[in-house]
Amino acid sequence: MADSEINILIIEDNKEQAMALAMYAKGKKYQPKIAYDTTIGLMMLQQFRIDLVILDLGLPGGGGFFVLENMKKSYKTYDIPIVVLTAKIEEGLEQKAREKGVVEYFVKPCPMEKLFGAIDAILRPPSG
Amino acid sequence: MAFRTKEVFEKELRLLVWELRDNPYRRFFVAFMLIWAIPFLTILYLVIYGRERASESSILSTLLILSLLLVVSIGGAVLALRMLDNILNKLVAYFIRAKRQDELKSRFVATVSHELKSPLMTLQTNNSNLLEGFAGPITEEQRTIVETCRNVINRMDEMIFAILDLYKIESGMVSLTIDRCDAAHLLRSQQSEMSSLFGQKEIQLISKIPSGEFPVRWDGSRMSIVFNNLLSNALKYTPEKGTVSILLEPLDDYVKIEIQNTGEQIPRENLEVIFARFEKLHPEVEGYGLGLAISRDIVEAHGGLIWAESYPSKNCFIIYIPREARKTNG
Repeated sequence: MADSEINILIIEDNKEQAMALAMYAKGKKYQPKIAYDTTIGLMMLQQFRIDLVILDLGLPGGGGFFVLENMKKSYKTYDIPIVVLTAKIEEGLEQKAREKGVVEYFVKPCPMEKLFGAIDAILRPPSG
Repeated sequence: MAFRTKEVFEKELRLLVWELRDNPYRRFFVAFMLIWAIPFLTILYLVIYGRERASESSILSTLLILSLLLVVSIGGAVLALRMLDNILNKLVAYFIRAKRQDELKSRFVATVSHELKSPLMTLQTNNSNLLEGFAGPITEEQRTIVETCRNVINRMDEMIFAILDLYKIESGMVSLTIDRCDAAHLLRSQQSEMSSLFGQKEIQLISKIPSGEFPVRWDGSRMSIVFNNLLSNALKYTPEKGTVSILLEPLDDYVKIEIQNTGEQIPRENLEVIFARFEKLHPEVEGYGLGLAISRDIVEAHGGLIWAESYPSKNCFIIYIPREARKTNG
């Protein structure tokens, strides 16, 4: 799979944030797609081949956990790696998200090098 | 620790007030006890000791006094009941207000978290886009400006993190995760993380940590924050070629940890001031004056104590903390 074909879906209700993330992803030679709420996000997950999801937890339309639960129910989406990027700081939230299958969890603001370092490790693991 | 004692007292008082408010019989009993105690004892006295020298006139006068006292007592009890109701209502209003303030505090934390952290993330992402050249090439001069912005963003991030941590600990939103950990390892790892920074200032780092394991039951990650804060302070305030000593000493069920540094003596009158939020004795030194406040909260949440002592050209920060932490918050 060529790098340019790696699709990342950014589910984030803050438009400026989503656009900035998409620009960075594009700079890192990924193909970003944006969904501003849970419904559109789930619809895009069914419509496109998505390789990784960057998910905000404080989303309109049920929140990030609604997306997580629905992704795990669908044969097409259950094994897509999910990276959470949230401003929520409630105790125990990370553990709850990881129990639902989240592979990486970051609290905003998070340096891009750290976020995309983890994404690279998932999508472009060092060969050999 | 003072605010916690107040909290415990308030909690007990609140329980008492709620119990009295919800139980009219108990409320009447309290009013009765308050007003009837004195007349009741007088009657008892008259009945027991007056009987020995009883005559017709004394029985009559006793009855008269008794009936008078009865009337006064009933009136008094009714009055006391009203007063008690009034006090109870005021206390209930006070507690409702306090609860609302607690809710506002929690909401403040959530607001700070979301409303400040999210835009900061956007700034940080766009800053990275500029620095990486993802938004087009930039000149060296522009790069310097963008890098300055990045440093400011990072400092804001640190400050928001520190404020949130403080509020989370104080409002009991954070429950300590007490687990078995190695106190010596926690101190040693903080020491080695910062050793290069101490080296840059040619500060001599003396470690008096016993070799081997030193098992304790603490929240390891939070205690690491405390050690990091104390060592960062030592780094900031120790002059070049000075000395910083780290001491770990077992004391029965407690552990004594001491961080000493050479340098300008902290004035005695400021030894407590430095533990207050946003208090900095030297405004020119980097930081927000939150580190020691956070450290004190964490240590006290473990059931320990932290304080500072100062001597001519030397300052010490001392922690007394139980080996097995007792949770005092949450």
